[in-house]
Amino acid sequence: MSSNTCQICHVNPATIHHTDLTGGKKVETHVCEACAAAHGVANEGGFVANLMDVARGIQARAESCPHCGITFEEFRSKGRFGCPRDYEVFREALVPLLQKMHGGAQRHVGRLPHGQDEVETTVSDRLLQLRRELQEAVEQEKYEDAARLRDEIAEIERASKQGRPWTSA
Amino acid sequence: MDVELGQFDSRGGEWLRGEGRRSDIVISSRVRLARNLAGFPFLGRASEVQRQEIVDRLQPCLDHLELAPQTFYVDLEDTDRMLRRFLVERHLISRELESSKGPRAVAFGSDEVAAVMVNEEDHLRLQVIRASLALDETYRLASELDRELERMVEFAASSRFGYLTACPTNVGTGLRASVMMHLPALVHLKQIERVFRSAQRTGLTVRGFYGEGTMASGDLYQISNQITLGKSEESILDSLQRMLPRILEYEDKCRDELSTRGRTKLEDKCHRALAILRAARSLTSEEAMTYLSAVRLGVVMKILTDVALPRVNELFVLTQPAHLQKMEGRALEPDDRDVRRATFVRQTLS
Repeated sequence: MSSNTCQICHVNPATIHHTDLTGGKKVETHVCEACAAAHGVANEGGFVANLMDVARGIQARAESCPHCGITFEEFRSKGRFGCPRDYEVFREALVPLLQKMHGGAQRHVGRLPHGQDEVETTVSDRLLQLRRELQEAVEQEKYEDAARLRDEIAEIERASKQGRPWTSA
Repeated sequence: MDVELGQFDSRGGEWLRGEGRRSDIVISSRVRLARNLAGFPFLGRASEVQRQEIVDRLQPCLDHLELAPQTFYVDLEDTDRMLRRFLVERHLISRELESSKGPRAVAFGSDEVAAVMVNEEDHLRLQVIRASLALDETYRLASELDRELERMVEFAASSRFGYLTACPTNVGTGLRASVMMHLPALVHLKQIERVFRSAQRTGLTVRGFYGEGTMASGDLYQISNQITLGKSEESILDSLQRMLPRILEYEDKCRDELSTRGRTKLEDKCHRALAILRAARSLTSEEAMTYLSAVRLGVVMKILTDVALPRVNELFVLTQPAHLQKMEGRALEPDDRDVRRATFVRQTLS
């Protein structure tokens, strides 16, 4: 990413630069004064701490969902998520948005599938992951991998449907 | 089974029948549920192959639902634009689903009460529309169909966020409940903006006859819940139902005022509108909606006594462009459409 443009507004030239080496990973932050001020970065005592919060925020927004590849930035510009997992992957950034949209609410209280209290998502998460790998295998013309992944998906789906009263063909 | 234009009820869906509670103001009640299949990406990230897989997987399930009295299934990817637009005018699919590309479909009962869109914004959008003010029974049917689908497929959900949807404005219950109201007196007395503002303050949204982003045409408004998370289905329906009597009373009051303070003016307006609809040789869509609104008001206020309410309700839908072209059996230029519309309205109302 260019260090010349503000990483928050992508418009103004960046005039505040910060490099964080905590955890052995180099994280650079470049922001303009207006955005820094809007994020509570004042040119006083709390400067570095606040700037590091901003830096972490930018990092979190740039991270992508391992299941569908979408970033929080992409979600914000399109208004649509890429997969059901995104709700957990971006939970921290999402909750304030949900509260704004839903009159302060951040937790579901209505019914859930099959009238359950809890939803187990490990199987569907695994399927989501396998379908992504399958799509990539097809794109890269790795047909043997694709065939294996297809079998694995079919196997998991068969197993997860056991005990269900009706299954589609 | 597949459907052809000839198989649709020539009077429109059952929800236009104009019978039931507060049918003088409320045209219909609608409930829709947004659902996605677990283990699949949402549509924005789904490949063409995955979208097709979703359609293929849902088709047998939709057949199995046995929507009353007969299930029609339309593969929208293979369908010509005229039929797709016709389905929009019928309120069976959204404009978004009509104009989008790729594998997508709709299944609906031939009475047009229940419909399921596949691959709209979410994998599945289930809707139920009934005539007049009947939100509870409308929701009950939607919920039954939802549970039946749940026996056949796994929906994406989490304990914390409920049913997971592509757009977080629908997450949680995935429930949007709405009523379509005819509010000509509020419009006439310029009180409609006040109603909107107070509806918005209580977390409700107001839209036009054809949903999101459409202008209110014919003084028809859809009022729906905005919040889907953090409230139970019952509580969402309850909030909407608590607001509705206030809007109904307000429209009643404005109708009374029009009737007492300017009775002759009101009668003149209704009779004139009917006279124009019975005599015009060319009518634009907007003109038709405007005069139909005045006629509808005249009918429910017993100013016009020789027109039946269901005929007026039906005309709001049957005079739309794709419907006229279906009647004619071919595509029509806008000018020809206006002539066809006038002929049809004249025949229906005389």
